[in-house]
Amino acid sequence: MSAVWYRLRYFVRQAVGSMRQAPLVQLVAISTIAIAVMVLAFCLLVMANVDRLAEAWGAEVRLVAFLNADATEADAVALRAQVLELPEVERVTIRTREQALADFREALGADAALVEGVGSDLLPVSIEVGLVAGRRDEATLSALAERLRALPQTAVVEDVAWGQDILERLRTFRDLLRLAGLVVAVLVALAVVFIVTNTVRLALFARRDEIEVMHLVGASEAFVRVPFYLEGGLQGLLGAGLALLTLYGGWRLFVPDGDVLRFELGHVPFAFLEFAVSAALATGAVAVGVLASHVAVGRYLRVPSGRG
Amino acid sequence: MNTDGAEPLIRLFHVSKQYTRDQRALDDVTLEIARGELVFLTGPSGAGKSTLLRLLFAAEAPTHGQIVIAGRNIHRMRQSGIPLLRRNIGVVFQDFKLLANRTVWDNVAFAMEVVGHPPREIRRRVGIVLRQVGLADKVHTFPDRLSGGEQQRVAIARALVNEPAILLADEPTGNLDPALTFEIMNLLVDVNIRGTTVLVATHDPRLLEAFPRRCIALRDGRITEDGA
Repeated sequence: MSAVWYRLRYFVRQAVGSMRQAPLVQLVAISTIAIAVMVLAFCLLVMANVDRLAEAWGAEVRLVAFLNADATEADAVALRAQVLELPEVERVTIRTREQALADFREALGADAALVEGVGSDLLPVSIEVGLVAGRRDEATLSALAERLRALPQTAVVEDVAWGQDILERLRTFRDLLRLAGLVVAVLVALAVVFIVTNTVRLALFARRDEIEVMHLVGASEAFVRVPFYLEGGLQGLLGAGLALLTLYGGWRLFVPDGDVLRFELGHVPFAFLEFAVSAALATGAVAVGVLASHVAVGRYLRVPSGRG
Repeated sequence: MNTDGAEPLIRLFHVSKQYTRDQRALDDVTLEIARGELVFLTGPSGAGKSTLLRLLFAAEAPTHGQIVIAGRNIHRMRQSGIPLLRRNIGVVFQDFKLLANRTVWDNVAFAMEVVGHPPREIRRRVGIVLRQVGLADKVHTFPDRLSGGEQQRVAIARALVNEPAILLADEPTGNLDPALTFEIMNLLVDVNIRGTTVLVATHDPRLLEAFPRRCIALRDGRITEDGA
């Protein structure tokens, strides 16, 4: 076995030994880190699924241009041909006055009698524009709406509707979530730093005699420090692991097959955090733990030499 | 380390150590100690004995002057070089400084572990050094089950296990009764005979009488006498 292996084994043994000396302190520290990381992971989970929801809704969203009362179906056909030339447009469907009335009747259901005897010329001809995948976002819809209004056929386009309200609300919600996520991330990092620095300081205090002997017999500074860094990193890792496992357990409990939630707007494929996101969370917790240990040991572990 | 026998192992040039403005723990101390010597450092409490030892293993830096050990000037040494210096200097204290939660074997092995020796080498060296100090039958005992003399033997074993060229002992018999005092001193003489340069700080005149060696007397931080 190489010297590096011996050292690694020594560092791990020291770090784990130190943690086992005060199991209750470690339990409290790891649980607190777990709660903090879980709040952050939950925010990320909600954010990721709201994004999926937005994408799913985007697929359902159509832009509808209502033509004015005088417009004929021939106008609609001409407009369709022109709109189809736009690169972001996938398909254009014409809804005749008759189809519009039939849809209206269907929407009224039991109250369909209200429109009994109403002529089909009451409702305007319209075109429904579907966008190509990847362009079904608010910005494209908004730009297309403007474009349609500005077309030479403006005379025939009376109004353009594209579910602006719901998409705007969704965007505001996502922005709010991002901000909340950022605030939570900062709070979590601060909490981890606070917990780890305090537990590592306790460990330092418990091992002060050992550290004194280590300095006395010529242990290098790294040899004294590394077990403490490992301890901080391990706390972060265990805390993050516990948080992700608990969150995953809760997810499986409340969302048994991952995508049972369906909305009227369509089927939304809800999913747990991606592996890369979970790994990044755990890595972040480890990094913050190591950093906090570094802060905690500070100058205390410098080889005493009276050099200030 | 330099093994050139002609050059003194330890050299101090006009070394002073000042903790406060009007209190000098050491005042212009110049001395040389040859390889293989056993030297007593004596004087009343507060004379500067412990300070001198602390400067030698670089626990503190002198206010003025230079200290050269085995040809290397400690003052010019980088911070990262200090642990390497200490591996060549074993230190023993009056209060032993043993780790209460480790057995005799583990206390000694710890000194090798933390400087990165492989387990096989640790087993070999710890066995040898514990036999040398006469504690081969107490390897699994914890320090609080040992007598004062035995605890000091463990401390000496720990100081020797990395095979240092120099052994510094700060009042090593200060906590021991007369019988144990001579037992420990005999052990230090034995260590010296095996080639280690030994520097013993003591204010016990019985030791100086029983073991006539070079004796450096300090008073108020100054050398007042240096001779046999």
